Amino acid sequence: MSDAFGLMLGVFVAIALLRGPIGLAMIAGGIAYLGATGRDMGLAAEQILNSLFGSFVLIAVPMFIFAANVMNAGALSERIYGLAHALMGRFRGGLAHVNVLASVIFSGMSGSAVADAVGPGMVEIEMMSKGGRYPRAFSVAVSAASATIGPIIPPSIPMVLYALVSGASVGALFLGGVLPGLLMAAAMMLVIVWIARRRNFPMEAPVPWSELPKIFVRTLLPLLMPVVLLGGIYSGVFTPTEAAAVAALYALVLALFVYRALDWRGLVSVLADSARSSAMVGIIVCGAFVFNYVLATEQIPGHIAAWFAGLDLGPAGFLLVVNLLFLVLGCLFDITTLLLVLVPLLVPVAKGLGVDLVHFGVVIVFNMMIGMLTPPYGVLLYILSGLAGTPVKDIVRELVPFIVALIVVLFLITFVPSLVLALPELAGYVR
Amino acid sequence: MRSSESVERLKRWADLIGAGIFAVLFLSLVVQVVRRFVFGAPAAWTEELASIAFVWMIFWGVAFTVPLHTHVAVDLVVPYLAPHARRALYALGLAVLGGCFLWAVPGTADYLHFMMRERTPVLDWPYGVVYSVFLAAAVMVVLRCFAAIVRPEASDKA
Repeated sequence: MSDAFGLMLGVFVAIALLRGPIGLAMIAGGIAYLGATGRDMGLAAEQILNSLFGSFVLIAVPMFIFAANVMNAGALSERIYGLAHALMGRFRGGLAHVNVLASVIFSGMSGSAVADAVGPGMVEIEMMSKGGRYPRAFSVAVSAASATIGPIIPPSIPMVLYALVSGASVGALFLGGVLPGLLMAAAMMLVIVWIARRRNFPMEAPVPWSELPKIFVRTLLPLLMPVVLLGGIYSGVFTPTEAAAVAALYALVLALFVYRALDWRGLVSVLADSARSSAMVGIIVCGAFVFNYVLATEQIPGHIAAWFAGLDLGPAGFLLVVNLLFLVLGCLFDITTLLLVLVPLLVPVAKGLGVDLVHFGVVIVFNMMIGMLTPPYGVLLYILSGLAGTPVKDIVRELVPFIVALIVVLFLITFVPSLVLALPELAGYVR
Repeated sequence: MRSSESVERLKRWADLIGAGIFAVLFLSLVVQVVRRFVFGAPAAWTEELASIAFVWMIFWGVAFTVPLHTHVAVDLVVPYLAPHARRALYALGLAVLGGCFLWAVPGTADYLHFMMRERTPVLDWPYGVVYSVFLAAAVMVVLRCFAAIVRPEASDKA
């Protein structure tokens, strides 16, 4: 490891710790490295621009962001909520179950946990805390926890980013997330059953089964979106990027013309919003391109692989160490940064140990979803705390049983790979 | 007062242009799908236009529509400090950030100048033009850092 590499890390850590923008901090570190090693200072621009220009799959990310924003602006969340309510409201703690089920449905359309939290998540918080039926902090905790299902059940923005750095197939990763996502929902519902009984949470007046077909028809069009999206990808008709654009187009047609919940002015603001959010993710990706260029120049991945090989862990031991490492780092760092900088270092090690890269990817993304709930850097906590006006420490207290349940599922999918790989194998992606 | 009004107007325009770039990105993908499935005639330019719009969307955003303090950042140390220490350390971080980007501006300009000779495969646009938005973003990062350091109370709202 050279002095210049130390300088790069120093610059990055200094800016990042002093609350500077992470993506720009990575680029600044790369620039310092180029300067210190006497390389051409234009190399940072060259690395970033050529890599961006050559990563068509990355364009799926802004499209998924756009689709989710359109759905949220077009009141599709309310319809999904209505269906979930008719199905699950009748049980004790019904609205909490509704919250989880609505997240599962929304997950099939959106690839971002934040979109799930600010869309259906906020609708559910308001419903649950109406008239003080549920403690506000509990409602927020359920919305935050269930939002993490979003990127596990396909589509998924973090899985697209993982595919970019690992070379694993997006289609296989998406399928690999289905069973773990359903397990997450089941685990959360078990927690709710337990808490609802202990705290005597209310039941909703049951919606008669005879009304269900009507409610289902009302929600049918949004429910077809995952069919379009995933059907397109798995039939080989669309690339993931095109499928994301088609999904966004579908949501747009529903919001603009069918439900008329979005006007042209609203559309412009959704476009501008999506552009800003995508730029914020994009600049972290750019930082990671520069960082990874320097890491490759310094042959860091080789050193890390050799270090892991020296530990003589075996696949299970390696996954255990990686899980513990990421559970800690997930509390401290943003998931995009971890995915794009740290994960590429571990992919060769996983490959060398014979860990399936689809399995590895789903485990890593799952782990990072837990990181979105854990302080001090739990993005979902802060977003929902801000929107719902509930203190973070109250939310965290209510979140603890959900986090424990998620960690149990994490270890389950880590050590029983077929929970992840069964569907991709069935579809012929993984042998 | 006047100047803040015109800043607001510029920001609105920057946002509108950002929305326009995003629309181009989205529509080129839609056209790509429609050309292939409805007309059976795939167009090579759609993927290239989408890639160009993607590059522009990111750096246009960094340059003109996303203020420094709204970027993804780590809240590990700074929020727990006293206000004056917080401001001083935040400014120090931005000084390092702005300094590094300033250092790279001449090399970046050289690279873009060099890339004026190369052209994109389908649309035949000079890469130097396609990539120029990166230079705008780099210069704007320097200016935003500078503005946030000299006017911490405005905290890079400009």
